[in-house]
Amino acid sequence: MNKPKTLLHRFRSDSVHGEKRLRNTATILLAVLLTACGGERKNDPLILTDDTLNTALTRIIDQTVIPSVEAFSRDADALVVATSDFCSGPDTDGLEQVQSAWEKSTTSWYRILPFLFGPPDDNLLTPGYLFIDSLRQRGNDYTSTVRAEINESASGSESLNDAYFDRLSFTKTGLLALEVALFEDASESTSDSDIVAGFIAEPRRCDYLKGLSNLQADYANKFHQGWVSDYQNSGEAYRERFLRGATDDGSAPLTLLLTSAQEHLNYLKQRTVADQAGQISGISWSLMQASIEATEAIVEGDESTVVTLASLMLAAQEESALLSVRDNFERAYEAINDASNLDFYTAAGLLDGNFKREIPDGLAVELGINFSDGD
Amino acid sequence: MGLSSGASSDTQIEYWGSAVLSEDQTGFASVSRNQSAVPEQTVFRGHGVCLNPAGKESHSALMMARRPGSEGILFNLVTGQESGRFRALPERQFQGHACYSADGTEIYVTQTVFSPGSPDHGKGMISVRDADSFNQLREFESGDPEPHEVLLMPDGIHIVVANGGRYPGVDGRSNDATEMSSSLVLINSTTGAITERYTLDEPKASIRHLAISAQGSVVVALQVQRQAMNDSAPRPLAAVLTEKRHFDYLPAPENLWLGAHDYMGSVAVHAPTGIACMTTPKGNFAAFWHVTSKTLLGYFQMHDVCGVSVSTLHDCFVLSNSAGELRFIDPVSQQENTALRQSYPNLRFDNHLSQPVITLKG
Repeated sequence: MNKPKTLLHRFRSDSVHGEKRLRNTATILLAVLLTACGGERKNDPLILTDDTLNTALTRIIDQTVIPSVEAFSRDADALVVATSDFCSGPDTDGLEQVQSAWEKSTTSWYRILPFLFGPPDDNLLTPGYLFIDSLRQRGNDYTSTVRAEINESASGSESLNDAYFDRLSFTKTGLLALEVALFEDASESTSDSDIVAGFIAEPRRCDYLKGLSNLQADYANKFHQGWVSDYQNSGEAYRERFLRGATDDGSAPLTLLLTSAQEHLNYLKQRTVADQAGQISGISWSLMQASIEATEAIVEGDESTVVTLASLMLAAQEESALLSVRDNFERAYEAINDASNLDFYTAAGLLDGNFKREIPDGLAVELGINFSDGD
Repeated sequence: MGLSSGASSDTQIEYWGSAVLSEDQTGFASVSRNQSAVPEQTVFRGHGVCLNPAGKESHSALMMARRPGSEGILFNLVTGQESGRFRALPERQFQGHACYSADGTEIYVTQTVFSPGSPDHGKGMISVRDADSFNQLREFESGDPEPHEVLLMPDGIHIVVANGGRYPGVDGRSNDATEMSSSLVLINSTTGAITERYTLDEPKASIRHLAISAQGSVVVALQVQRQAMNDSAPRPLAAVLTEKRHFDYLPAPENLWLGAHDYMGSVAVHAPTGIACMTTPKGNFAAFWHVTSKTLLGYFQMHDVCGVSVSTLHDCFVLSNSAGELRFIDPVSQQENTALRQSYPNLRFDNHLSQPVITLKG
């Protein structure tokens, strides 16, 4: 029998709960100075600590995430109003207004997509976001499903009441269903006059449109209320739970945020979203623009933000990592300007890598073990 | 959540062993409720940890190296100290798991032939070792490539082997999933004869981790090799070989499989209830099925969860993750007993937790 060998070094077992080892090793002074903002003293040197990371995280939530969720809720409500106005007397002016309202709410949604945790994703088996965005599940295009449902309901006799829409599967609801209902007629003509004629000839199309927009607004309002008021009947806003680390699966808040953004970028690339979203309305690149802007705001904040993930990466002397991130955002914007799908997916893939490696490494944040295939 | 009969958490201590990582180090840790973890450094990253069913008084736990590996180390779960080690023979690579015979005299270790250029390169093998000397007593084929977890069946005669099915690359680390032959096999541990072989209808589903119910059903955790597939449709990641030898998937809604990202990392069965718990660190949740009725009961969300075992003293599942957390989950309600929660911030638990060992306090 092999004899026991001399033990190698022992791990430290005097662990200090809550201590972030890596972070402490990365508390490096920096050259960036703070302006007075959010309680920090002017001219304090910015350093990477748990406190400054929490400050940056709080600002991401308050200045980017919640305003995006609020905007989607507001825009979804506006779509309900525009739909009602249009259906009171369908004409091309009214159609353009309701189409515009749809475009606005869809663009708002794409600003939420990088933050798909908490209220929009509060149930593993049937997350609410699916009822807004069926494409997000795994990139399946349900356009033909939606067309069949709309045409059948338009010519059918079943009451198009709340119960009807509550029964609909996620493949028949949300932004795609509204897009099909608003941007083409039964023969897939995208002419405004043909579409309006279809609504006049089959008034149940308006009932269907109103039901879909109401359903979307219900989800949008629920997401917003979950973030700012009451999450899952807990009596506490998800904002508060998130910022104190009480996430659903126990993930550290920053880990959850970075992972969500990374998964979104992976989704854009893997599911070739620029080729699938907003195709009938022709706003695909606007959606990609909104989504990349919201993702960039995680790193850079807005113009008024001083303590950002970017400034903290600089504080930790991670200039080259930040430069890589900034270069890749620039690459994404150029691809959007050029309407180049291939370049856009390449940029999304590179940014996906940045959110997996450069950003967490630059902030000394551990995302997990990265359990490998085969283990 | 009650205590099992005859057991008392007031007078007994329960230990689990796990491979761990800490900063850039790798090691083994034994953990117990209300105790400090006792970690030991190893020069390799460990993986599966098994106990000797006939040697519980020795409190020893065998940790195998992560695949492809070359070592196994015996630790004392109570003291955390190493008590022996052995290495793979030439042209063999350990595959991460092992189990003991019923009488504790033999160890069955999964391994593959590593001999690039040889026709046997990548062949799945079982190395039978003497549990005291660690000398290899015999060796036999596992029937398919990449044997991973191995467990002793309740009859004490057969071992059940999860053959992952991928063929090795020449570097020994990577694997090729273009052609796969994954299977679940039962092998006579004395003769090496493969007595039963089962496969699933999804050729890219790699059978990797196992747990056995009190009734003799084998619950199987799968990993789907998406990179070798041409579609994105989710595939089931859990299966069961029933005691009547029917091998099929366990059911779950599509979104659960999607959320697991093609990866189930570990599985355990709570014997009194016949409930299986399967973990997915890529999906950050554990899912629970009643094995006999093949019913999905629910899920529990936990960041980077992978290790799963049972607590005999507290009659529940124990989950571990890469943040050094242990959580105790009631199998029936799938709710956490938060009073039992533990945290070891200086440790990152790796894939698997061992079965528990119980000692008297003092």
